[in-house]
Parts: sequence; structure tokens; C-alpha cells
Amino acid sequence: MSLEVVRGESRNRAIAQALIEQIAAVVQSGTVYLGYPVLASADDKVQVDALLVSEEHGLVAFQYADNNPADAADMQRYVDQQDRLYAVLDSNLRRHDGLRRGRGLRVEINTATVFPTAVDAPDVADGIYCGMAEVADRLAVLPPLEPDAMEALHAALQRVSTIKPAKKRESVTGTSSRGAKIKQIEKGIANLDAWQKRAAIENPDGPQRIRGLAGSGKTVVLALKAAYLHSYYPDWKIAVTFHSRALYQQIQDLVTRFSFEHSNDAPNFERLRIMHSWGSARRAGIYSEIATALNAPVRDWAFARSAFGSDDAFSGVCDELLSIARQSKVEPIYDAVLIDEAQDLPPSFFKLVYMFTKEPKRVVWGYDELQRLSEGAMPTMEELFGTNEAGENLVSLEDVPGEARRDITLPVCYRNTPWALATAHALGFGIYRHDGPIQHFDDPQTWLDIGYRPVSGVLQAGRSVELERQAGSYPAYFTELLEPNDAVQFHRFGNETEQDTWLAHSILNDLHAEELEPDDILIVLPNTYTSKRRYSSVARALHTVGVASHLAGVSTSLDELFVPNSVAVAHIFRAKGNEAPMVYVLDAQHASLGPDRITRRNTLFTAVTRSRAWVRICSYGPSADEVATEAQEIEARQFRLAFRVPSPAELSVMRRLHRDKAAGDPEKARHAAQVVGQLLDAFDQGELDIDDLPPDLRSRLRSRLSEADADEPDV
Amino acid sequence: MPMSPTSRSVRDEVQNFLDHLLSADVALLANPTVVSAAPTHSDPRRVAVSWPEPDSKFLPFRGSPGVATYVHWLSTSQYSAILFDGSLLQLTYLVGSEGICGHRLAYVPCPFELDVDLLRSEPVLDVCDAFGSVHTVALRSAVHFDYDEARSAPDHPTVHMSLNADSCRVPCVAPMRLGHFVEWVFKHFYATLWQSDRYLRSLARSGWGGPTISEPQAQGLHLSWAR
Repeated sequence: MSLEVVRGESRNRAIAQALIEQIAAVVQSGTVYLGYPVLASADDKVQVDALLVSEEHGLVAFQYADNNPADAADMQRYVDQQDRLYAVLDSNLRRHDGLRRGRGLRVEINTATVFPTAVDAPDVADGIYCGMAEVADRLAVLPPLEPDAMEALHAALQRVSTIKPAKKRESVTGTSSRGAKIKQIEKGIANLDAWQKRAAIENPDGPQRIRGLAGSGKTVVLALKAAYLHSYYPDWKIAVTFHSRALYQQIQDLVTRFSFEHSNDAPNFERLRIMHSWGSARRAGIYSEIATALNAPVRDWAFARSAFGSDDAFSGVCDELLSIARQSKVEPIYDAVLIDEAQDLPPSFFKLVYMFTKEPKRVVWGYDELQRLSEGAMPTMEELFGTNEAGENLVSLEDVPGEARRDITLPVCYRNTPWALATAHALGFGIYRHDGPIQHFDDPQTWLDIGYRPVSGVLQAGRSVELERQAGSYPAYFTELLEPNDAVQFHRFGNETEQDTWLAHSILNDLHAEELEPDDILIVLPNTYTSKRRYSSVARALHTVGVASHLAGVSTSLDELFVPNSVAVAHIFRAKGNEAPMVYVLDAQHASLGPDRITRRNTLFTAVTRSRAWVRICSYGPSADEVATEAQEIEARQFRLAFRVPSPAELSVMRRLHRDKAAGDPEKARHAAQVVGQLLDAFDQGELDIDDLPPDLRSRLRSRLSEADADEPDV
Repeated sequence: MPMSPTSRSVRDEVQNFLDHLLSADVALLANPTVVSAAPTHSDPRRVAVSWPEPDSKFLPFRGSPGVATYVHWLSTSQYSAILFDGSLLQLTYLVGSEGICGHRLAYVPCPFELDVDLLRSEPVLDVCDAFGSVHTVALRSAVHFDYDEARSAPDHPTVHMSLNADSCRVPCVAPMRLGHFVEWVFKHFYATLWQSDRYLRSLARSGWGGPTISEPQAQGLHLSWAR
């Protein structure tokens, strides 16, 4: 154990450092928060320059004084400030059951005003008033905390009660129903962990990266960071931006609630702006705002799609704008920019943001570690931000001792159970696929970074290994409340109707016997193209059993995903970034169809990782064989991943074989695949024999299949 | 099909039609067809066969439907189906103890000429936002066939077709069966589809009610069909 320093905003770094040295002289183990928490009384903000939490000397809140008091009236001002600090802290801590004893608190609140040099303490005042050099001595006489008060105190300081609006769940009467369990889980999620807290509070004078698996709390951390910076610097122009329009509502909601939690006030959205990365005719985004600042044409989606193609629409317009920016005189707009879903944004966007952020370039970006499962796809710092004239990277993430961290990893995945995450990785990589995995990390050690540990074997190229999720990479409430074979289930059906009928009855059970609510359930459709049609049959099946549903994103992408009293259905792009206690992944055989295997497997990965507690992976028909077989293996191995780590050469072959082939005309390719499917069905059902095909067609087919066989590696 | 169909048979007829549209990729999406109570003082057993939770009024405000109306209907799921080009079908039948006693069958063309491929994969209004402009706007009116005995009057035919304006009520000979409505829409607005889709042409068109047109109305311009 040691003294940990969480470096939030500091009015004076030199004073902060001096204070830390004083504290370190008498405190062996504890945490010092600089510039945290941000508190407010009914009337005004209250300054907390530092907060010490230690078992040895309890809780101490510090305020710095820039000068020694000139006279009694001056001193009285400091006394009033300290009294206000005490009152607000007291009121704050009393909200927490674990810290109350009767009508009082279990924890003594100590407050201190630290002057440059020694002062005479005021005649009638509580609290500590001393010079910097005396802090250690004054701390040394403070009593320790009660034995188990430390945990309660940390929980209170880490608790952000407004992360999720807690559903009341008044209809939950059972103790072992799913509704009862998710109620417990939601209580657990309300606490930030130490990593998230640090990531939210620490803001270096420069860029910062926050990495973590999906579900590790990055959006929450970024929202908290934005609210924190805004409350500290209300005049700053801060932008929070993201790729999916669907995040707009969520981020605005979080920022607003965090602001109320800390400042007792709504944020000023003229200064703290929630902006989509692109923008639209109705609402400015980062790109459109920068284009306007440069007096450049603001390209819309229609233009971009026509000029650059659907897939490269945004990167195309950003590239174009970057070329213009480089030839122009740039007046930076933003004091700080926080970017969520960074993995979905092009490097040229980052370069533009960097150019238009004022020194010291407070650009914070959060991205889902390995959302795309291909680590090699993540751009380097050079690719993201570029280099200076000397060829050095503009951005370095190396930590500077004594300063806030620049590169933070959130190691705990809160959203997904360990079994769902292992299943998602197994299916996403094709670990148990009959013909071998279709993708893998460049560096096998990445498995450790994302929270796996070897159970047997060796995690090295060319060697066999068996991995499992390590304890500590997920919160304890998962194993306390859930069973693995209830958390993840695979279901296979003969046809679509059978699947949809089962789905409807299963959801009926979720809503009645299991006491879940309709908006606890999310149905994910992997195929965007057919999602409207598929929804129609799903909706009918649900309606038959009296369950209302809706397809999110039918009319607009700004549709709210979750609506009270209705089960949400969404295609994969709409579901991304969202989560639900119970997720049904339909038509999972989609992962085995078509030439774009990696994309389809990634889709399955994303779909499974939408679940907060339970996931049902459903497939049907003959093409479900592959996924169903892999599912059986996952279950048989109790959610462990056993495979042979590919060598670099094998990885190269894998990438070549399974690369997403960019069809010249996706619609044509899709139609052709359908026709081939119909042909095979006709063979299976005896309606057609291969000899019925014209000879030239027969030989072309045979020749093509032989070529494909020759391409397959001997794995 | 009996002259007095049951609500169940009406629902099945509508649902089967919508299911066909889906499987033929003519519709992007179809809401379930449901039977819900719509009692009146004189007929407490009257029900409505429609999409879930229809607005109580055809038009939420006065005037002819415009782009804003289209946006409203789409945003609030007020339709039986969205066709491949973004047009809407709104099919509502009222069935009482004597059989069909009312209907509103509406075809609402999409206000813009849009990329049908994009409509399949993207939210419809997002596509309208991105591509809807003076260059893509299509000047087309919604068309609806209404059957409403309660409002029947000399200038308000019991069954009538409306387009362009509230005041346009072209008398129709009798209540309209789904098959006739489908013929009207697809034969006149999707001629190629009509020619190639046998199912659409095979929908039953025998009458769901006797003639309702008055003698004076029958003397003037009106719509008539074999029943």
C-alpha cells in the first residue's frame, strides 16, 4: 500500500506538490485527490483543493490560501470559506447509509486552510489553519478512521449516484427472479471504480487516451470528465463528440446529471457542447463547425456518399477539409475536446480536432479496445495526429512523473458477464470454428491486456493455450448473482418462424415470471439490410402473445432505442453503444453466410456484448451448423478459450483468406448469394439434380469449387 | 368470402397481403394487423382491424396531408406498411355485428424520389433529410378511400375517394374490398409490379357490402366496380 495521488485540476501545481510532500511524511497509505470533489452549496461552488483519505489520519479537506491574512477581517473570510466547505462535505456524506451512525457521521470531517507561512489560528473557529511547513505535524495528531469506515468512505466518494437513473422496479417481488437480480446489479454499477475515477478526474496539460473494452465505462468517464472540467472552468469552450448519433441523448443526459450532482446546477450548453462528429443541417457538428470557421463548403452525407462512397463518406470529407485547413490560418476554437467512439472516426478528424484545439491541446479520446477484434486496425499516434516539421509525433502518451496520466486503461468490463464476453470472443474470432479461427490479435499478449489469463498451455505463437476471464476483470456481483449457463444460452431452430415463436414465449416469461420490464429487453438483428422486414415478422410473433415492440431507427437515427412498455428491436448499428439486461441475438447463422466473414463475425461479437446479464444466441436452418457447433464447444469448455496461437505466417494467410472482399456491387453480390442459396435448396429438396445443369455451367461450378479448396490452408 | 366477413377473416386477409408484400420485398416493414375494440352506442361489439394504436383521426390536424403529415405518420408508426420507395399504406376496417361498417384505405406516396437501396438499410427520415430537396420532391397527393355511414350526406358520399383536398369526395359505388384497393394502387402507381405479381392480381374482389351510392351520386362522376 502507498500514498496514491489522483491529479485533478489544480489551482497551483507548486502548492499541490508541496502539500503532497507534507502529507507523504506522515501518511503511508491512502489517497490524495487534487481538485476533487467538486462541491456546491445551495448558493455557490465550494473550493476543495485537495482531499486526503487515509486509515491513519482519516478524512481531511484542504483549501489553499494564496496569501497570509492581512487582518482579522481577512482571516474571517478564510474561516467562512472553511465552514462552508465543512457544511457541504457534511451534507454530502450524510447521504450515504454506510457513513451514518444514528444522527451523526462515523467519519470525522477535518478541514484545513493552508497558508504560505505560519499563521495565528483564529480565536473562535473549528478546523486547521496553518502554514505549509506545519501540515505534517497537524496531520500527525489526527485520529485514525474506524476499522471498516475506509471502505464506506471510498464508496461514498466514488459513488456517482446519477450514472444510471435507477429504475424503481416496483413490480419486483421475488428474490431470485431476473428482475431482482438486475436490481442488485444496477445498484453495483452506480459506483465508479478507482480506475474510472482517476480517468475522469485526471486531466493532463495535453492529449489523453482512455482505453478499455466495451462496457468498461468510457462514455460515463468522458461525460464525468466533461462535467468536471466545465464546473472547474465554466468559461471554457468544451466539446464532447462521438460517432453514433444515438449517443447524443445518452451523453447529454449523463453530463446534465453529473453537473447537478456536483454543482447543483445544469451545465451551460453554450459552453459545454455535445456535438456529433459530422453535424447536419439542423445541428452543428465538429466537422461542420470547423468547415464554417474555415469558410469551406460544409459537405453533407448525400454529397459525400456520391463523391467518396458510403464507407468512406466521412473520412473523405475530413480529408478534404484537412487539406483546406493546412493551407489556411487556423484560429483554434476549443479549449478541450472529448471524443467518444474514437475507433469509428478517421485520422483526418483527429488532425482537424488537434488543429482547432487551443494549446496545450487538451484532446481526450476514448475507444473500445478491440471492438473490431483486429488490433492491427488501430492507427498509431503518428497516423492519428501527424508529426511536426522535425518528423516527431505531435502527440506522445508517455506519462510525465508528477503529472496527470496521459494513457489510462479501464481494465474492468462492467457491462458483460465474463461468460458472455468469452462467448463473444470465441464467436468473433471463430476460435472453435471447424476450419479454424478467422482472425486473431497481432500480439498474443493482448489477451492478457483485455483480462484473460492462461489456465494451461503457453500464450505464444505456434503454441496451444487455454484462457479464461480472470477474476478482477469483472465485478464480483456477476458471479454472486448469476449462473453461467443461464447468463449465456444458445438456441437452434428449424426455421425462422420457429425461432420467432420461441422468442415471443421466452420474452413473455421474462416479463411475467422473471419480473423484467419490456425496456430491459433488446432484440438484435445482425443484418441491417433485411432488418425492417425481419422486424415485421418478429413484431407479429410478439404481438400474438401480447407483447408490444418497436424497431429503433425506422424513421430516424435520433429515435430513442428504449421506450417504456415496449421491447426494443434494433439492427446491429443501431444497437451499438447500447446495452440491456436481456439480449436476444436472432439469426446468428448470418455470421456464417456471405464473403465478408470478418465483418459478420464482428457483428456477432458486438451483438453478444450488448447484454448486461443474459444473452440468448439464436440461429436456424442448415446454415446454423457452424455457429451451433461452436456454441456446443464453448459450453462444453465452460467458457474457456482453447486454441493454437497462430504464427505470424499463419496470421498472414488468415488475413488474406478471410479479408472482407469489397464487392463492386454489394447488392448484386447479395442477390447472387441468394440465388446460389436457392440453387442449393433445390438440390437438397430433390427439385434439381446437378446433372440437370447445362454442361458448361457444371464444369464452371466444379472448377470454381476446386480453386476454393486449393486456397484453404492446411491448418 | 361471405357478404358479412368476420373481423378475424378481415384481419387475416389484410395480414396475408402484408406478409406477401414483405416476402416479395415490396414492403420494407409492416406493422402487425390487430383487432381492437371500437364500440359505439349502437354497436357495442364493433371492432377496428388496423395497425396497433392507430390515431383516432385520419388527419391529426386540418387541411390536406403534406410532408409534415408524412413525417408525423412515419415517426409515430401510423401505417400498415412502408413500401420499398418510402410510401405508406394505411389499412383500417371497422367490423360490426352486421359486417363491414367502415374503412379507411390510404396510399400515402413518399414526398421525395429516394434511393430505394438506402431506404432499405437506413432510417427513412434520415434519407429524406439527406436527399429530400426541391430537386427530388415528387408532387403527389395521398389518396384514401373512406367508408363512413355516420357522416353520410348528399355532399358526403357514404363511400368516397379523396385526393388533394378535404373537399374532394368522389362517390364510390360500395364499400371497397382490399383487393380493389390493391388493384387501384398497384395497377396505377406500380404498373410493372402489378403485371409481374400474380398474388396481387389474385386478391379477392367480391363485395364486402351492398351498394351505398345514392341515385343522384350515381348520375354524376363516380367510381364503380363489379362486385
